[in-house]
Amino acid sequence: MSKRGRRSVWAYRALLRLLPQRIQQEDGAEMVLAFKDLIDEARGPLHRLALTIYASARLLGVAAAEWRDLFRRSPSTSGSRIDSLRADVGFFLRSLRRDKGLAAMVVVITSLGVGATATVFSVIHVLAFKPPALR
Amino acid sequence: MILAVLSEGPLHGYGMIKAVAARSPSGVLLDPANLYRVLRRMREDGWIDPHEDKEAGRRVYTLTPRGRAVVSAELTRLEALLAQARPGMESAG
Repeated sequence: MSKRGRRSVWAYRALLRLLPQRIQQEDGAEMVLAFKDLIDEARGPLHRLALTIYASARLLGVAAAEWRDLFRRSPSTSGSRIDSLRADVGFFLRSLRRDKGLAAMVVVITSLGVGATATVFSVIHVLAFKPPALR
Repeated sequence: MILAVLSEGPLHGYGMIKAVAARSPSGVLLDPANLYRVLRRMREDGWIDPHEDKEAGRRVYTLTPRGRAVVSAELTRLEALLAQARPGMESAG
C-alpha cells in the first residue's frame, strides 16, 4: 500500500474512535480491514481521496446515529426522568389554560420575582463590585 | 441486498461490498460503517451468524435459517407486488 493509502487508513482508524466503545471493540478491526481493501482497489489518487471522504463522512453519520441510539436506550434518560419532566410541564400548561386567574397570578408573581431579583442585584453590584466614581 | 448476496454463501465485509456493487445496476457502494451497522442489527435479529475465518484472518458471515426465511418472504412479497403492478403498466402502455 502507498504512503497516501496508509494515511487514509490511519485517518479512518482515528475517526473510528468517535464510535461508542462497544462498537469499536466489536467491529472496529473488521471495518478497518474492509476500508483498507476499498483503498487498495482504488483507481488512482483521486479515486482514493473520493473513497476516503465518502467513507469518512458515512462513518461520522453512523457515529452520530449510534450515540443517538445509545442515549435513547440509556436507562437514566429513556424512562423516568424525561417522562416525568414531560408530564410535569404538560400538567403545568393544562392548569394555566384551565384557570385564567392562576395564569395571571403566575405571570404577576414571576414578574415581581424577576424584577425584585434584578433590583437587588443592581444595588449590590453598584455597592460591592462597582462603586460610584466619587472621592 | 445484503441478505441476497449472503444467500449464495459466506462472505466477509469487503466481499459483501463487492458483491452488492456487482449486482446493483447503479453500482451501489456500501461503506464499511453503514455495512457493519446493518450487520450488527441482522446479527441481533438472528438473521446472520458471524464466525472467524482463521485462514483469512477475518470475520465471515453466513445466513441462518431464519435469515433465509426472511429473504424468501421478501422475494415472495416483491414478486406479488410486481404481479400486481405489471397488468396496470401493460394496459397503460
